[in-house]
Amino acid sequence: MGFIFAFFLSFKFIYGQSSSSKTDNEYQTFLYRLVDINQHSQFYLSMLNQNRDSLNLSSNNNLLQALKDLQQSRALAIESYFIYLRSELAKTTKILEYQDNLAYVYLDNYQTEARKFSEEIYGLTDWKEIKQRSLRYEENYLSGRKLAYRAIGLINYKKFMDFLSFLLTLIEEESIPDEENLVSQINLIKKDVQAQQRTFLASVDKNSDSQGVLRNHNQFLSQKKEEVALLLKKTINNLN
Amino acid sequence: MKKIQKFLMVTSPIFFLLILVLAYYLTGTNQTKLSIQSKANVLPTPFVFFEKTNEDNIFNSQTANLKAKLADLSTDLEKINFQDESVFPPDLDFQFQIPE
Repeated sequence: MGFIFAFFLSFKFIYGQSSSSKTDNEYQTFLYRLVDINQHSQFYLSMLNQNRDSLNLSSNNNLLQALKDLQQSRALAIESYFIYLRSELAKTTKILEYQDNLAYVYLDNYQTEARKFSEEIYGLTDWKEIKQRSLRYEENYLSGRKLAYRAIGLINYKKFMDFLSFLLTLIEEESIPDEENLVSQINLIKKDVQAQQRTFLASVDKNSDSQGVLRNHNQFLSQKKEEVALLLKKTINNLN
Repeated sequence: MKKIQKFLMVTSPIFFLLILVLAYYLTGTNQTKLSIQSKANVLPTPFVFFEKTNEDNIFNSQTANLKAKLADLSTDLEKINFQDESVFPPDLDFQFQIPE
């Protein structure tokens, strides 16, 4: 029994370690690819400057190759980014809700789209085709970006709610003296955060400024975080 | 006669081991038990004020434990950064700057 328990523990430990390092790796890959894109862009621009006088694009294989590499790098960076967001969401989601399922599906879709684009672009030989395909993908990515803002908001909300639930369980288990009405105040904060989350989800992908909506949402969460931190501090002081 | 000798040769190591195991249980363990019991009998019964101090200690350690847990939670909360914009999606422009 001891052996089985030890085996289970070691498996859990190794699995936990590998999943978090996998997420870090995805993010590192994404950052690495962004650096790669910058280098490609510089190469692409220098090629363009060299050929400015005789811009015969269809016959310039080097320029065509530079273009394809650039677009492919961008798509691969985006793919890594969606994989990273998906794994971050998986880390915070303890109970799957409808919104989480929806986010998973969308993130998967945009990740697949990016992979498809990076593969397709490599097979194209005409720069006009590359341009058309790239423009189509850019439109697709703009919707994907809205989804990414939505997913970040969801991840932050989940992190905070998990923390509040854990805190409430601890108060209940350890029967902490409730001089500051800690339980009722935390429950009130929870309700406020839930109401804000509903507003955020309803507006983030419909609003033209999704980034602004996410910023407001994050600011609200930070404000509520400060309120909880203050409550915790008061409770610790009361225990003295 | 030879059969008896052979039988003794085969079984004697087993008997030897059995005797060793029996000796260990009969001497070592019992002696330890006896020594613990005798020491326990010799120990004085604690005074009343000792018990009260122990209760106080338990209460204090529980409070300290609780404070440590809450302090850990505060640190965890501080680590959550909702306004980290480094995880925002990259602003990659796919449009070409090449003339038609």
